[in-house]
Amino acid sequence: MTLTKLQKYSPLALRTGLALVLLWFGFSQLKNPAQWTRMIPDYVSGLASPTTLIYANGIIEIVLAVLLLLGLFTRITSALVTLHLLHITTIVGYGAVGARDIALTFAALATFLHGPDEFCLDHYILKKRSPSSTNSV
Amino acid sequence: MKKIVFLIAYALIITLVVGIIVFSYSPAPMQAPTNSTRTNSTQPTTNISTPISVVTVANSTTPQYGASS
Repeated sequence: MTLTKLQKYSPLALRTGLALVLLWFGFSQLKNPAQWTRMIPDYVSGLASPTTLIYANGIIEIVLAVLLLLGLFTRITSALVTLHLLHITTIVGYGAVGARDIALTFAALATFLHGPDEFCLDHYILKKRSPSSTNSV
Repeated sequence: MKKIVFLIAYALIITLVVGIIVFSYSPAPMQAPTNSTRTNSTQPTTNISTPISVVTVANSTTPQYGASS
């Protein structure tokens, strides 16, 4: 048995790992938003109440995670996740947590660069339209 | 069609499992990134017991009034 056959599961594992992280943080923010309000940057604190912003962020993260798991709009979703994680990295700053966020940002960037794999819904939806356009989303 | 259903079920199951885990078990609170949460720290007390030193000038060259030369 050659391990080369397992290569096709690599993008799926990467998407699933990213989605797990986003789901955990998203659900945690919905469960206990008061714990996360100190992470809100000052320049958005005037838009709404801190609790509302945390709820909105949590819902957005869960939606992005589900899209990653489904492989729907993979390129757009992973680009948004990359920018989101990059922003979080700048908020958290230099430290142990920031170093892990940098790794997550690059993982999301890798998903963006790869595009849809064969386990994405994009692959099946666009395959019906035109077989050669699966890497454009 | 079968693979699409499998993908949707995969996403749904993972989302539900993570949601149930997070809402069932309280995770440890995240540490603040910059500020230390040490609240009960006691400042070190400095016991100043050094007496004020008195410098005595034994062989002072200051001229003394009334001294005979």
